[in-house]
Amino acid sequence: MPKTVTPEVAPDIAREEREKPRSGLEPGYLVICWDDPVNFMDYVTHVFQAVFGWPRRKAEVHMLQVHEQGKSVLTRESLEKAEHYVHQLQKYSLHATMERDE
Amino acid sequence: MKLLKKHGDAFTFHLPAREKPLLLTVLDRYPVVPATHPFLGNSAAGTAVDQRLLDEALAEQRQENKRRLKTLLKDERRMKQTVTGFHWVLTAADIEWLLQVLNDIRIGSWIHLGSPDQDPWNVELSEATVPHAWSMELAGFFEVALLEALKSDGAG
Repeated sequence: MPKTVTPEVAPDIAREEREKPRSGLEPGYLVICWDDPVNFMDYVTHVFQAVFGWPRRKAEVHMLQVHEQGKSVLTRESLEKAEHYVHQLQKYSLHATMERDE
Repeated sequence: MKLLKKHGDAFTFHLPAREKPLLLTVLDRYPVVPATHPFLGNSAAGTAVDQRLLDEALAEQRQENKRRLKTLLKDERRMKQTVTGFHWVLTAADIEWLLQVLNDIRIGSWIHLGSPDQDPWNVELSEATVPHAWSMELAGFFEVALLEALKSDGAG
């Protein structure tokens, strides 16, 4: 029985992903918290824990990044989720914005 | 203000008699952060529609906070008089929400002081600035008491 060769037709996943139009549901927005000279460090840590459900250690790492580097990218999310997080952070009077992750 | 005990979801604070009028006066100032300040949005990125939605949601939230604040402070079952002051019972959700309210007052007062960029704040005290400096310190005082209470619970 001759060995048959089945032609492999693999989908061009990379091209499909590149060509897929961005939508509001696609995770592509960065949630950024900016430094300010007024919020207590302990408060900022607490807010990160409350908003993202992070353990204290992770929240402290991001808090220190904000404090020492001027900002911290907290998460990358869909438009809808990024808006939600920015709104939550602003409710606590933190300076938060979102940017499209190009 | 100090945490006396925590039972289930209820945190009982001791509020000394002299601190109650301070608490009521400082909370009465809410909201203080100007609605157009970057702390409340106005992101450089995002569309105008995104920003409008965020602004609307935030304005609605502030109105709701103002209503909730009035209800909470008038609730005599939550704030009972004792010999030396009051026992004030708050849930974890109340505390979380009060932190937002107090921080609005603290940050808003700082903004009204000209957003000084270092602590100790280099602010010239005058009739115009003293109320803001007072609010900022007082809001910070109560904020720290709440944060300490949450930490003592292991939740902070």
